Amino acid sequence: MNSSDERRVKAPPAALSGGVYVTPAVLYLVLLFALPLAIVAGYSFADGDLGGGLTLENYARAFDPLYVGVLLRSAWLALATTLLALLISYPCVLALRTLSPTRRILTLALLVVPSWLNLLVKNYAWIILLRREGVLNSLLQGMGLTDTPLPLLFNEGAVLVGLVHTYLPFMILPLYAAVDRMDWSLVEAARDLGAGRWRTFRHVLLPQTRVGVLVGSALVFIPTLGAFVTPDLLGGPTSLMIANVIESQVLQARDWPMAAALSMLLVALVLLATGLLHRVTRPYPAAAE
Amino acid sequence: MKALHAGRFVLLSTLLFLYAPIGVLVLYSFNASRFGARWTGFTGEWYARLLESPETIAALWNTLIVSTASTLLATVLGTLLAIGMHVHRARGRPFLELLIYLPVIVPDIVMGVATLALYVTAGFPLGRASIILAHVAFQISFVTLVVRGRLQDFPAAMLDAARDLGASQWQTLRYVLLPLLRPAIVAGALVAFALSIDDFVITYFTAGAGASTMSIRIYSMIKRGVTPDVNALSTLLLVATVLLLVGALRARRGALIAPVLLLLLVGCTGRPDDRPPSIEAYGATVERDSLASRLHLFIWPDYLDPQLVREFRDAYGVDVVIDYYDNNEALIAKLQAGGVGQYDLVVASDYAVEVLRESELLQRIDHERVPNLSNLDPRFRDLPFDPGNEYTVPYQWGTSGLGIRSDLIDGAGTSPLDSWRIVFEPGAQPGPLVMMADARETIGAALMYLGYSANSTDPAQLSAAEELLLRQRPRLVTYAPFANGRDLLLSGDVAVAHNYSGDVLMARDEMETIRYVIPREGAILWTDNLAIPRGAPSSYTAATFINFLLDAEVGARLSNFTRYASPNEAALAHIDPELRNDPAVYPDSAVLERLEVLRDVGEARALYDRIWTRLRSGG
Amino acid sequence: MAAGETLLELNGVTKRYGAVVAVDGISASLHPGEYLCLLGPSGCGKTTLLRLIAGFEVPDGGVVRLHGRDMTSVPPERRDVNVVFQNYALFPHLTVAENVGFGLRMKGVPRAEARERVTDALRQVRLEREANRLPRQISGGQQQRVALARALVNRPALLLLDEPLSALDPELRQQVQDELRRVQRETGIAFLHITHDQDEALSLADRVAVMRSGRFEQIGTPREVYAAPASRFVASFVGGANLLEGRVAGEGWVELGSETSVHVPGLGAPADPAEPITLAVRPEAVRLANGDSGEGLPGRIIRAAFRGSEVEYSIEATSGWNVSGGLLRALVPAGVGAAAEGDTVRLEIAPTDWVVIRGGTTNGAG
Repeated sequence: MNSSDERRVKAPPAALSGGVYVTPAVLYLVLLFALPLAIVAGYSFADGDLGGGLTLENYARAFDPLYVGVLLRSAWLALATTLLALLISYPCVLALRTLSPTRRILTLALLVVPSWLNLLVKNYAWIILLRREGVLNSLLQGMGLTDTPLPLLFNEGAVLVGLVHTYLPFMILPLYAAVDRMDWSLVEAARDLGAGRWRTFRHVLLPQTRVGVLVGSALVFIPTLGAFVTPDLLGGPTSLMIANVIESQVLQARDWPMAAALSMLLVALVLLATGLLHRVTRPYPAAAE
Repeated sequence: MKALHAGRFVLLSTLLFLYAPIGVLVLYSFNASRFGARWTGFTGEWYARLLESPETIAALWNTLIVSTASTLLATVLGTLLAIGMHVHRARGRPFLELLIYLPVIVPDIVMGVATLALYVTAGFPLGRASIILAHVAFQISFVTLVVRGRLQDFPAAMLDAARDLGASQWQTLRYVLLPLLRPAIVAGALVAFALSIDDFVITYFTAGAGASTMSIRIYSMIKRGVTPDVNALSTLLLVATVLLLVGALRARRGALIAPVLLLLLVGCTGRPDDRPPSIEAYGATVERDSLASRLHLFIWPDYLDPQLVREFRDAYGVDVVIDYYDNNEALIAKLQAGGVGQYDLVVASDYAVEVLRESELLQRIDHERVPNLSNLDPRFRDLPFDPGNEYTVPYQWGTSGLGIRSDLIDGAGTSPLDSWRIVFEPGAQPGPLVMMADARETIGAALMYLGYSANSTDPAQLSAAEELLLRQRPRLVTYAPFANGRDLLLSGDVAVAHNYSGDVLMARDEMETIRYVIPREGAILWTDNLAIPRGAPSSYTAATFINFLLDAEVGARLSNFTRYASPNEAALAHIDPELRNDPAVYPDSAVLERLEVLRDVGEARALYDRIWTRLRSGG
Repeated sequence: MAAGETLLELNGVTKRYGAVVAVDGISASLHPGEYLCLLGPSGCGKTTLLRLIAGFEVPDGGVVRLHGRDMTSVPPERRDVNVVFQNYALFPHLTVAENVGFGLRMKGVPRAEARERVTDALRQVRLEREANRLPRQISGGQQQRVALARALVNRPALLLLDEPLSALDPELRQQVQDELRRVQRETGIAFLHITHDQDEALSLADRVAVMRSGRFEQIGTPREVYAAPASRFVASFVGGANLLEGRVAGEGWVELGSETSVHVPGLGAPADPAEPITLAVRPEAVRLANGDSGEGLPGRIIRAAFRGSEVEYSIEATSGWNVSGGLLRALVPAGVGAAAEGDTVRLEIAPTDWVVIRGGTTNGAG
């Protein structure tokens, strides 16, 4: 055995190509995302204008219970939307599996297409559907289910409906991908062992499709948190959400530093939620032998 | 099996849920009524009008080009990123994860303005490319997320097998990885496409003049409510994108390039020019060589008669390219953040003009080029925000008052209707009510009812106004943005709506029982004004257009179209008598005394904002 | 290549994953046309070694040489080695023929020639008729044959098979074993076959390498490994030998307990007094004799299992000796001196059937 046989070997060449794949996107995001964000961060610490000195006062003002209250309410609404979307999507996706392949693709496409419709117009159509003299109320009254028109609009319920309608396809797609990939024999094994439907769902289906559930939840929760058109149109007098507040800081109050501080807080909140998400969806490390 | 049926039932219900609004949308695009509120009959006229409208076609093209280009770029970058992370285990995973999730998190409005600020600092021109680049920045994340979902349990053995059989990295990618990833890549692209088409805020701030997309056009039209032509527009867009998708799914790779290239090649067509070197029209002499070929106008939608645009073009050979915004604050923000230099002419309301002047965003108007200034009503020559019309020329004016459905109110005649009492006193409210979702308007109404100025900066007075509004809030149906109040009036959801004069009057055209009243305690008189931003590509052309609009005939046609009041004295003679004699449009001097013009409140902005936030958040 | 030249040479090859040493300084060589089975339990490092040879991992120490060339900087796609993966790793979006022809296509072999070679390969594994099917449309056994054809068609110098038979039904296994052997002979390609099944290894291989905890405990012909295990591990893993601990009492004598000694011919005098030693004996070398007295090791039958042609007895030591694992296994042809459960017996073992493993209980460890 000569000494050259025992020499150390450098890291495998594969690591280099990983970098090559990743670099274009990273460069892009740094230039067109990180940089503007840095500007916003700069504003949040700015005393007046950028370059006018640093201060923490903007954050102090942002922590006002008024704003925190709005933030929490927005988070709650976003959570409700996500859960509702999940509740609806799961049976849909399971039902999709029972269709023939062509029908399945067709139905999937049908489910996705509404997401391309302009948000504002969809919301406005909901107004037509939900208002006191609207389609739904006319239907209900016509069927004799109610005597007086129901207040279906201009409240948080209507906002919820509008949000779920907009973001449902974003939950369906990843969930479908996850269920499609799953090893269905596990479900059969569970049923064979005597598990009822609910327990099979809870102990087999849910864990196996965990990644899909979490991706879908992220795709719904996060944009919903930043929604402002839907609460504006469909909501009642007190349905203000955090994005509305930030917008009014930028446009009405023209208070850039404040808007920036509030934005940073919003970002921090979602980062927290995302951090949790990341820990739970960490892919299994490659096993050695 | 019961579960099977239950599942299918949910699926069907979900499809119904998703398509009900779409059905309504398509249905109402055939609505004969000009407003989305009630169904009055079937007509295809909106589609016809749309297809004739050059702005619409342009917006449609812009949307398809922008969204397709950005989706393609984002899909490539995002897929590569996902592959690099999960197949090749690129280093720095936590950093990459952060980079992926952050664009998804940061609010649109912040990103929009920040991106614009970046463009301005870097001197990057605004146009379609600026929108595309901004879109890709947030699309990449979604593509990566979708593709990595599939990659996370992609059998590594398959890639090993490919390499073992002699495939290079590139060959493995092309023959094994990408074909197997195709469903996920397509799904990611679909998500990215949907996001791009629907985006408004970021697009708004990063679009160059003439690059308005569908979403900008539609959102901006909201000031006038969602009229059937917007529905028709959306339906067309939907059909176009579905066709595009079907084509993409069916076509072989090569065949797809052709339509894409075609889209991208749709450019501007030149127009042969055979006009004389100097044009005399509308009371002015204009040198053709000093005119630009295009005039970029930034204005509210439905605020300029398309006929006039054509007339201007015929006279001067200048194309008027129109971009829209939906409120003054948006205009200000865009100009402040660096959008100045994009537009020749903007239309801003009174207090907005103050802000723009203060920020030195406007340039002086050369009165030599606007001889028709003499047509202006003297009352509009020395407005508080611009005495002497140095920077602005009034465009249209109107009031903010109350629209009332006289057939829906109870106890009619027991209390006078032309008073804020009917909205602020519980006993005097005659029926369901909405107030405007505009801080200055609504707080202003409260202030005026209490006998104060709508421009008050006194904290005590503001506090009183806030209390009044808080007491009123439980009795409201909602705060209605833009022209929704008008629609609610038409549909009968409310009996009283706080709204702009012109909107209520438009509704009155359709329903005789609607009245417009100016409350006796005081109301806001607003003026919209033409102004030339600093750095306008051609202030010469802008001034020519202003002069054109101030022509007596032209001015009259303008107001007949918009139904607002004209500040043009010479035009009054030509205005539709019905409008001319309507006290709701042209109030008599006694009423005019009670009207107040909104001004910028300076530092007190923060106070107003806090009140509004507390009001709107249940605090 | 000159005869006798080594095809594959492993020289001190080591691979670590964090604190775990998966492959620990392995040195060995493989000759052209040889069928070598790598035998070992799960977790012993055999798959890692395969990946090192194929090029998917790079060793932390030592060298892998193919045709005398150092392979360290050579990626898998350029090595003259092909792999048949454990779960076949067939490309689901390609037909059987396209799968088999993949390697040829990657290397740019002209279409006509490639088509011919693919047809030949398919014929060799008798799958010509499935050429245009997709992997999901054929059975597991057929998929395995496709995987084999896909590797062979490239005419590598060395074929690595990762537990190729583990996913198959037992009846199929025998058949496939015969196929593998036949194909190997026909093509003359060296096979390195990884398995945890000792029957498979013994029946297929020219040489067997027994692996444990990252090292080779023994390399030899199947006979050598079976009859002359170099360590306790090899003895028990290959052929399931019984292991008895004792001390060398003198030249040719081993003391198994206080009362029992056995004669082991050829055993030299002990280096130390009472040197510990392990004796191994195959189950089929144990004969049962009746009764409480007479020669042989005393024991009692705990279990008698009928296995068709033979009976397997599990016997407990009653006095004076003990066996690793507590029970001694004996395989006796059926019909010869049948004994029942509970019977007391004497175990007769011919002195030449003892296999000596030096070093006692510490043998094989460390």
